[in-house]
Amino acid sequence: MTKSRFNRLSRVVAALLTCFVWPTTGHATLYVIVLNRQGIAIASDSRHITLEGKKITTSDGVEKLVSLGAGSPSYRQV
Amino acid sequence: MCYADLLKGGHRVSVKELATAYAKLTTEQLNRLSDSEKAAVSSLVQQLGSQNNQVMESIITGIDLDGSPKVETIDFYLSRPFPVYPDILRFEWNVDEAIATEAPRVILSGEVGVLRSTFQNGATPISELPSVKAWSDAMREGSHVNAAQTAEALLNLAIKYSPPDQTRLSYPIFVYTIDRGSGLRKIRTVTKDKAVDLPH
Repeated sequence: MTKSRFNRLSRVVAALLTCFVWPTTGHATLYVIVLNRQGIAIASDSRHITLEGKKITTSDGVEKLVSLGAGSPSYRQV
Repeated sequence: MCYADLLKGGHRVSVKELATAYAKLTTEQLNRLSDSEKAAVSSLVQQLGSQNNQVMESIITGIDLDGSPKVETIDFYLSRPFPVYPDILRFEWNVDEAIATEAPRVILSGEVGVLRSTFQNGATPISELPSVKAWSDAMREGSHVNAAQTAEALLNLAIKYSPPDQTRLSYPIFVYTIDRGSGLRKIRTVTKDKAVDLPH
């Protein structure tokens, strides 16, 4: 719902990246963003961490970037 | 509510407006937590040594309506709005905007410790690498350096030089670009030992 509204609303091409300060709910994450006049480059790690009680489980290969603008929900891949 | 209000106007939305709407909506949702739930979050935040009671950071980035690449960083934090009632907690937010200029800018978010110490503390194992020195010189001289390669290589260094007991980051690295012509694209999936060096 929100995403479709974003699509209708926004002509900008945008992406959302989120990290939590603690690993309880999801991402222990690093984003490196390089911004210049030509555009934006983003590198993201892919580990997802879940803490249940005292048990920590991890899974890798998780994409953490959410596409919000033109081209959503799937973005072009090369 | 925020998004619906924006829709009613029928106008195009800037990245800043998008970020503000997202921040307001998220904060509103977080403030619906009960007092005890907020107290639990506060306790956890203190336990983990978060600075300024920060709970979460989100980044909305993209090409804005004026064609400029922009990065909006939204910080969510817990505050005690009434000093006489310290048990009352509220989630708040603030946003910081970065606009592209001629000089490339590197923005870090999340587990930034390893890279931050490289940029701030001078001599570290990473800053002594020849590729890092050459890249730093090129950046200082204003040379054009490939943004995607820079992002990929810095993230690779952060994982590679993290303390051995640190398990929060892992391969593969995903590399994306956003530009006016092609929009958002995932350009590389980088496995261990396959990352590029810093460009210079």
